[in-house]
Amino acid sequence: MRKFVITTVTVLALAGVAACNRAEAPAANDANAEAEDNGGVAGTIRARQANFKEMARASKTIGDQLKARNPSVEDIQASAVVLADHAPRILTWFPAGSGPESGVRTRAKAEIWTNQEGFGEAAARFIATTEEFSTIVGTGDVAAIRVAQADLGPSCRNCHDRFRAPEEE
Amino acid sequence: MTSTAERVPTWDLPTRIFHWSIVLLIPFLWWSAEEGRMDLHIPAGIAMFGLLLFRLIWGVFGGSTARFAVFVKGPRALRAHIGGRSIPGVGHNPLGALSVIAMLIVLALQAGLGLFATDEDGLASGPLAHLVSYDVSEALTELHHDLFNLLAALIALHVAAIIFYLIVRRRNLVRAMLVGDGEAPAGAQPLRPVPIWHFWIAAAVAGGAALWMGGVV
Repeated sequence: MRKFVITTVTVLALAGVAACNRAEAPAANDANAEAEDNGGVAGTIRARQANFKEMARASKTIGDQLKARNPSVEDIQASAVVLADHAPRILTWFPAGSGPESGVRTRAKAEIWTNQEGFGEAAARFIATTEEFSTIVGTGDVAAIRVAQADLGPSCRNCHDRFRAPEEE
Repeated sequence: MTSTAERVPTWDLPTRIFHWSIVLLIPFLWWSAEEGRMDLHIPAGIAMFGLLLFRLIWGVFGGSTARFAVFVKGPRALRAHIGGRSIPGVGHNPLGALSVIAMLIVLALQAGLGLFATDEDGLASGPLAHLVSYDVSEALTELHHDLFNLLAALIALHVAAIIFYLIVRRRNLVRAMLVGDGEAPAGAQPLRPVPIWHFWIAAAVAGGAALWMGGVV
């Protein structure tokens, strides 16, 4: 009986959380789908979010491999390519009108467009870091890759901290 | 309430240290997560993992009032307690036990989920996140984030119950958790403590596991 009570409480609690999540998701999609009809801005925003997500996946793969006992240099290399390929395109993902004023859910701050110089510099730093990282990954030297990886995170955050709004609750 | 209340040993020192450690740690974990300070959140989360592990061990080998087998009661005792038909003792009452178990379960889930969580940029992650894909880790992270609300609600209930006891029942429960001795009706079975070596072994096991999880050893 005691076990039953505990299990019931846990299941109900988890179900409650799951229900909250489900309730939130469609609303956001609807908002974006509606905005897409007003000139494709939603598509632009969705595409850039997907691109950043690919970079996040690549970053995690690199970190995971470097945590492993025998890191796969091939996996790291594939992820380094994703980062180096995406980095130079970042500036093209933020056309005028794709900021918070679009009415689409985006965490891109207006500062991206009001401080284009600063945004450009942050992007340039990231491009340089990913290029350098790719070069070092090419050597296959895991110790050197580990050292170079330490520069990747700060280079990402440099832009996120200034040009990305915090997550909504 | 009986008028012949006296102070008797209620909570052993390890249980009190655990309690007040998490009182400090939970707001810190919440704050560091809100601020995106994963450099602080992850070590603090691993410390929480160690503390919880300690509490689970203490729930089996610790002092009587910390033991699950002693304080977790079945529905009959619960009904008797709610109906005011039970003999008041020291430690958790049958209803409070449910609250404690609920908090411990949610905290354990939180710590467990945190081990597999990743920040949205794939840059900072829990010590076991490399065992799952980015997408799985992201889903677990969302659950980790949302489950905090349930934890906060349970804590609010816990604090509300303590305030209720203080104001309505004129019984200060905080004091016992601070100094160990609490008011109890005359004749109530006090805490049956355990030898100190129980604490050293539990702390060594839990601390060792946390250090191992944190990659220190």
